[in-house]
Amino acid sequence: MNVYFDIVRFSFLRFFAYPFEIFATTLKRVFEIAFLIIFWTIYIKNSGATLSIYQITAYFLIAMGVADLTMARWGALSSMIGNQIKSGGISNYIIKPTKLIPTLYAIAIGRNGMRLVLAVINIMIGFLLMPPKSIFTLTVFVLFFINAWAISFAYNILEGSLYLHFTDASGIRNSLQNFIRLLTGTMVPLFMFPSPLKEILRFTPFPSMVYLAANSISSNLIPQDVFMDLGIGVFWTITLNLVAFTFWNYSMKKYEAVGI
Amino acid sequence: MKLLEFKQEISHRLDIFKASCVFAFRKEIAYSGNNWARIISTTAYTLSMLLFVNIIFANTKEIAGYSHNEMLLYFLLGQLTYYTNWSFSMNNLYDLISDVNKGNLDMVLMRPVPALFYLTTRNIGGFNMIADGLPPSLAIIYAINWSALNLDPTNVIYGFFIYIFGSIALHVFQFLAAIPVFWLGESENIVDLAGFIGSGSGSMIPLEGFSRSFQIVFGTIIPVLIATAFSASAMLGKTNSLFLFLWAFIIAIASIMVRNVAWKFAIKNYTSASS
Repeated sequence: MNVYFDIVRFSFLRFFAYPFEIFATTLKRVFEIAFLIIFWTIYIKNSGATLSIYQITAYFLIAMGVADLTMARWGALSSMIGNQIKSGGISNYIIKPTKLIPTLYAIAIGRNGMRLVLAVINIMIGFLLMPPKSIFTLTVFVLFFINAWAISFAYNILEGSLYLHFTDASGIRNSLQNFIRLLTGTMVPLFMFPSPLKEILRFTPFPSMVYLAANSISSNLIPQDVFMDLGIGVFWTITLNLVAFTFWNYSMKKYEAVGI
Repeated sequence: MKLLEFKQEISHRLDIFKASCVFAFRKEIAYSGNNWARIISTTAYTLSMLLFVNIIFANTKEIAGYSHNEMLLYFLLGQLTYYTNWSFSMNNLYDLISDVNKGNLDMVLMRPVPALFYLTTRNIGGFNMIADGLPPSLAIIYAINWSALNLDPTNVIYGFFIYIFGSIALHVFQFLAAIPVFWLGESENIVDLAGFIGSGSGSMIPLEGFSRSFQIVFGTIIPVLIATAFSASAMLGKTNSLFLFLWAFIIAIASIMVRNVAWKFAIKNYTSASS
């Protein structure tokens, strides 16, 4: 296990060679949040929605934090897998005495370390704006977060496996990412979706990737709905991880490189 | 004599521009599979954004005074800004950063070409701009109910010029974000930030949605609102189009002057193994 922590540390430290780049990444996040707040302030003013600006800001801060931490947004792991397959660099990791997926995952965490740190800060500010109402709310958030992480992990593996079948799957990956952003609630909270779209979406894996965790803090929870959503999430966690690893193992058999 | 020299200079630059375009075109069509994938990606983005606009307008009639159709026109202009900005500006800036970072800029500076002009025009992805941008733009054009828009031809012409001036100002803003590479050795994330502010995160907030102070800041020092927000507002007649035209024109001229000064300053401070 220590070796993976070392990989994370090493990959993360590379980023510190250029401190201004860290500053730019942080500033980018500040602008992203500022524009979101401006847009949703205008929206609330115009639509007469019952939401408060604190509620919607907390929602987006937590949603962005969850999406980045679980790699549901912009799929850092799938991007890492894809780049290594395209460049042939994956051969270097196959011959090393470490497990392939955990190694690539550790590198992805390290290289996106700054984004993950900002994600944690996002969630903390979200919690400050909209503190969890009870221990139950906090527990539900943690459970939804674990669910989100597991589903996003499977999604990243599935997306990364595509690179073993196409010369360059970046276009397909970007297409999927655009829809993922919308359907997971990172762009618009799913409760704003029109019926029956939101009812249909409830039974898909998308709400479990971001929305449920983010919304659990800023809304009133009904225990029956929580258990139902958790059940759906667990179902997708198991199904998608089984599918993802089966597909990954099948796809890796197709990988060809000099010396392998 | 001066006129003759000027004509020769223009002709020389046109030759460089033509050669760069041909080279960029050959690069762009080298991987046809990737081009198809890019078209799928941009179309998917547009469809997801159209869905986003529909969801937003299912709960409200207007955003900052913009109706559903007006917001779609705003989105169309935002997309056009994005495609032209990436093709004309961002690609070249990333190449410039890479050249300075790896020391390849020496090779460019040795060539008998006007360096700044060459560096900012050598990789204009015209083919990708059209191939990636056309299908999604057509989808947005199809989604707009044009008869419901109150478009005055004079305002549209003003809007068109504001769009061009805004694109120039946006390019200079991003160019200034790339310049720190001469001192720091890397500025990719700074350019990312400039690109993000310019054509990403703010693209769904119309001009009228910003407070007066934000309008001034994002219309002058950080001129990211001009290409999309100013031109949409002018075309739809929401703000005096002549006023916005003059504003955009002054900022564009000032931007070009700032770019030349910044380039001279940066090149004076450029150090490498052979310079």
